[in-house]
Amino acid sequence: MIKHASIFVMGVIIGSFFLTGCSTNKEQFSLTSKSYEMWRDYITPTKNESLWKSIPWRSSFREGLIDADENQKPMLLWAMNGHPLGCT
Amino acid sequence: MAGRRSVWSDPRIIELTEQFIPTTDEVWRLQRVQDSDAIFFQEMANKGHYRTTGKTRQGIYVCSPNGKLLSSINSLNADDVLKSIKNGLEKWNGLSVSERQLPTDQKLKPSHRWENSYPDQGLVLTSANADLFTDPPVQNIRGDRSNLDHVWFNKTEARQWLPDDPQEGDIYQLPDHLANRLFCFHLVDNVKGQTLPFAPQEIKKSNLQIEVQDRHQSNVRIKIKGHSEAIAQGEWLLGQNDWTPTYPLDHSMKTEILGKATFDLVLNIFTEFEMVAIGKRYGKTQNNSRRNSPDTSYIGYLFTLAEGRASDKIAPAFVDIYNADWIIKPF
Repeated sequence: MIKHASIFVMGVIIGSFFLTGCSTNKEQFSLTSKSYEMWRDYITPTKNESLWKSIPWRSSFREGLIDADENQKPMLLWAMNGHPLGCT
Repeated sequence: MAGRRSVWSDPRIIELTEQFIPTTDEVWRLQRVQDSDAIFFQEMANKGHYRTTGKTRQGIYVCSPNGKLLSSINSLNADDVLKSIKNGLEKWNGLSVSERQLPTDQKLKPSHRWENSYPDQGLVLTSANADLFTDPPVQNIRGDRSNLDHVWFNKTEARQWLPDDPQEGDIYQLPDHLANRLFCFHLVDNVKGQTLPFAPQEIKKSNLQIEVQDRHQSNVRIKIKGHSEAIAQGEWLLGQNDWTPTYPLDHSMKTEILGKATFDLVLNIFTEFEMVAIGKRYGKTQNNSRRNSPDTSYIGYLFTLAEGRASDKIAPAFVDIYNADWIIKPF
């Protein structure tokens, strides 16, 4: 009887460890010290996503006109709601 | 901002821009105010692709320094933009010398630019904002749009990110007005388009904690940790301004924040700063292009130290209603 009880208790203990180990407590899209670099690296714009920044944009209409005059080149102006070099 | 990918990342267009002075500017000011540079723009743009009085002048323009419009278009199609730009270049090649010169009496001086309030020696951050689709993320599964913004704290505010005499192990709560700057104006759903800020009363939960990890000579390393919940329901609470929506749309944002930084107590500036936030968005706003999006999804934000280039000095999106009395408003 005692032997059967001991086996039963051991079974419960081992079963508990098994269930705990298998449970998926991880919350989706959670930010932790372990997941930090993973998310940082994904959010960082890729090379393709940053290509538009390779153009040497002047940051104001006035600056562009003055430079166009100095360099005797036409101005190519990209004007948007929200500055194109910021949040649009 | 879709144009960043569809037009300005096109290698044919990138190469062609070498024959121009490529320029950007914010059109809402240019098309409305009566400063000499804006009037110069209006006289040029009013001859372009949009001519209706009082309506937008968003677009891509080629012009000479004397204000002669050579071509214009508003398109996300690279082929169409390329054609328009080439057309403008061809007309430039046919201009006389005088048509290529900025008139000498043109001062083009704006009476106000938000960038004049740029906080030198402060804490200026660039944020990259992107939709998150899977956990873990798959590098080549990415949204068709992403956005950026700049965050401004002046020199005094930058110093307030740390306690007065920071010692290793100190736990410090970031002052509310600084935390609210992030929660109200930057941890918002602007991934696919301009959105609305939250009012301070709409920040229902907030906590942004600084832990001093070590102090070595003048360098103090900190860890940043926090969370927030912002809920906008019903009435617009930020008064009458350019952002006031024409109809209310309930939306909210829950965030988790983690980051690290180094502050130099002698130079009195941050020398390193990196902070990630993950937001769970609900709902949408009028112009943030979430019409076809699910009701809720996740957004990633990465805040890093801005560099000193002109492009890094562009004012934050909500600079006109920022909680910062040191920002000079127009008359």
